[in-house]
Amino acid sequence: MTPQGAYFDGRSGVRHRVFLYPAQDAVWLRGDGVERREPLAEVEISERLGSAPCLIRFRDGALCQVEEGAELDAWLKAIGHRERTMSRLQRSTGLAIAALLVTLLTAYSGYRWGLPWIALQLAERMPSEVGETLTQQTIAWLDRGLAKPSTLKAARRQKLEQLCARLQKADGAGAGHARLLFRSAPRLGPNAFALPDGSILMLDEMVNFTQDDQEIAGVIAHELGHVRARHALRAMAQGTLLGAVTAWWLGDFSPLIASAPVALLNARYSQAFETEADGYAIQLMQRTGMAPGRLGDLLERLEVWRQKKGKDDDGVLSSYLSSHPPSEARVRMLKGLR
Amino acid sequence: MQSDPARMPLMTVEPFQFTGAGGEYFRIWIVNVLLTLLTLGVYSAWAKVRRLQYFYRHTRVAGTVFDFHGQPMQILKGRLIALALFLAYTFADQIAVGVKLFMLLVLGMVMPRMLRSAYRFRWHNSSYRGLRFAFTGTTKEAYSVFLKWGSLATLIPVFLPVFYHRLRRYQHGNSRLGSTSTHFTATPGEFYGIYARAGLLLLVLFAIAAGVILASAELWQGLLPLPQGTAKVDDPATRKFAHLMLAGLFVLLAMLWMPVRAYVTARTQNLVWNSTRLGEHRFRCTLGARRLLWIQLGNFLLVALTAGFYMPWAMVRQARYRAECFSLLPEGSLDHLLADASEPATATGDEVSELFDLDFGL
Repeated sequence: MTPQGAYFDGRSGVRHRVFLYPAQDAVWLRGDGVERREPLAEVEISERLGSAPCLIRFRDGALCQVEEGAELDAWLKAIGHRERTMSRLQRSTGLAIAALLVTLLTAYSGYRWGLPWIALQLAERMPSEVGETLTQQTIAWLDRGLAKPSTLKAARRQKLEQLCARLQKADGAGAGHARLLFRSAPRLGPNAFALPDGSILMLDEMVNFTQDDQEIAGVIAHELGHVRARHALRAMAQGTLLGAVTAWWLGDFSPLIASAPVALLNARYSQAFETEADGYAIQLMQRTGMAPGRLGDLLERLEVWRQKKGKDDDGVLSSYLSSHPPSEARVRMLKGLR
Repeated sequence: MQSDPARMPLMTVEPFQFTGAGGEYFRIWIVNVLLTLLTLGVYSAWAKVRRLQYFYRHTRVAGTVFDFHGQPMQILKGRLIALALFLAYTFADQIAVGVKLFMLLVLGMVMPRMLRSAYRFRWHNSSYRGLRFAFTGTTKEAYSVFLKWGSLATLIPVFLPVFYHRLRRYQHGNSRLGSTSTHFTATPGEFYGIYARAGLLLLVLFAIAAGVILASAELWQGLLPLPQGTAKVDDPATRKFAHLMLAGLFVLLAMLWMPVRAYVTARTQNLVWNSTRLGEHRFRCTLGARRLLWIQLGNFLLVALTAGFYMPWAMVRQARYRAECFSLLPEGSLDHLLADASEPATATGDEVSELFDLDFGL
């Protein structure tokens, strides 16, 4: 049986019913007042996509539509048409399952290792002006409302700066020189931040919350860990890339679904950074003869403070928004190192 | 429609039909996804050609399917240009103060031109019965639609329906199939009607949601195993419950826009297609807002639950419903459609091959 087709000459919408005959290396169709024979190299036979009809496209714009089926298969074989690999692959169930598995694997390893690696490369190659601009923008934004000038005495600040320098010296060569910025921000509570340009923002609330120099040294050492590994820039790059990938994956379909997993997926990254900074802080403190366990004490008290504060105001939201979740494991790990 | 009843039997209806299937499309889609991931996005241009081929060749009216002729390299080119513009705009602030504003002006100036080019790309690369579509909208009109009405609608949302009217008129009033041109007859007033009702719907839904939340707040307190007024936030069970409720509430509020969007989509599609003529041939579009909402809601939930892997089925479901509601009302035979004599059928002439596509989706 030869397959039937609907032929259009490319000049009008008139449909010609034709039959396709087998001819070596040629497309030969006849019927309904048309006869045409073209070498196979002169026509384009469409890629087969599931049950969609096959389209034979001629150079002059003519077109022949042939339904999928055994007859088409036999005819294509008879005329010596070779299907492209890609087109064959797309029809195999086994390959679809394999592709699904490899996709899941690629997505997972991309998330676990690929994206952090790219972010690291970007952060390391970022010109220092970018970090400086971002820091200026952040500080300017804080100073517009959230933050007030620090009320710490000059002598106290100087002492903290000396502490910071001492800790950095313990790292040895190439540690650079991290600047300490002081502000007061009651609404942010006891907190400290590593900024993109490598400086550390220390809030009065944090300084006053610590009970001794070893505790505040622990905080500075932890933030130095973030600074040393460029966590601020890396976190930004990771967040942006993650957002771009999820937007590509789901954004066309629904921006709502696309934005939801970003925060969830980002949480793992920020936890990894916290652990890394803790590890660095332990090293610095041990080298300067301080007890890393003191940082654990501080984190434990911070957690108690947060829970107490959570009871006073809407604790539900604040626990979601906190970027420093001092997990029990962190505290336990640090306190083990007296 | 007030037409002579005696003429009714003569009117033929050619329903559109979508013959694709989710499982079948999944095979094509997953290979596209994998190769796009492995090539860091470069393959997405080839993926797009395959996707459009699949949906065009599965869309059938009067026994014949549509065909897409676009070349991946042209799509890739468009994507690279769009990416460059996006990056330039995003990082404009890092270069110097004021560059962002300059970039915004540049974007505003080139965007209408680029969108027109994208329409031309899409139309010229689509065909039916061996006849190419063509887009004949002028650059001048593109500036009027996107720059004038687009920015006016952004600044003063009251003009949004006018903008949509101009946009659809630009697309549907400037098309050709072969040598047969389209005409678009909808008025801005009809668009205002749709958006006014959509606004009312949003208001009603918002009131209902607020009512439900307030009413259930009483209920939650009753459900909690605590005496009134002594809710202990640090009790883990209570906290977990509160978190869950809060999360549910956010999802509920965020989903309010879905019925409104379904309504606007269905009504706009119906209006636009019922007001479009191709020569003497007309169209009939009868999308139901409620049916569309159910399909979109189901798709939304299943895509979310499967982390995106339901997407091929979702796309097929939506395409099938749209085709189901869509018919061609031919006036006489489609045989009389003719190719455009001024343009050789084969040629994607020099200018057309200079065109590029503009969008990022897979």
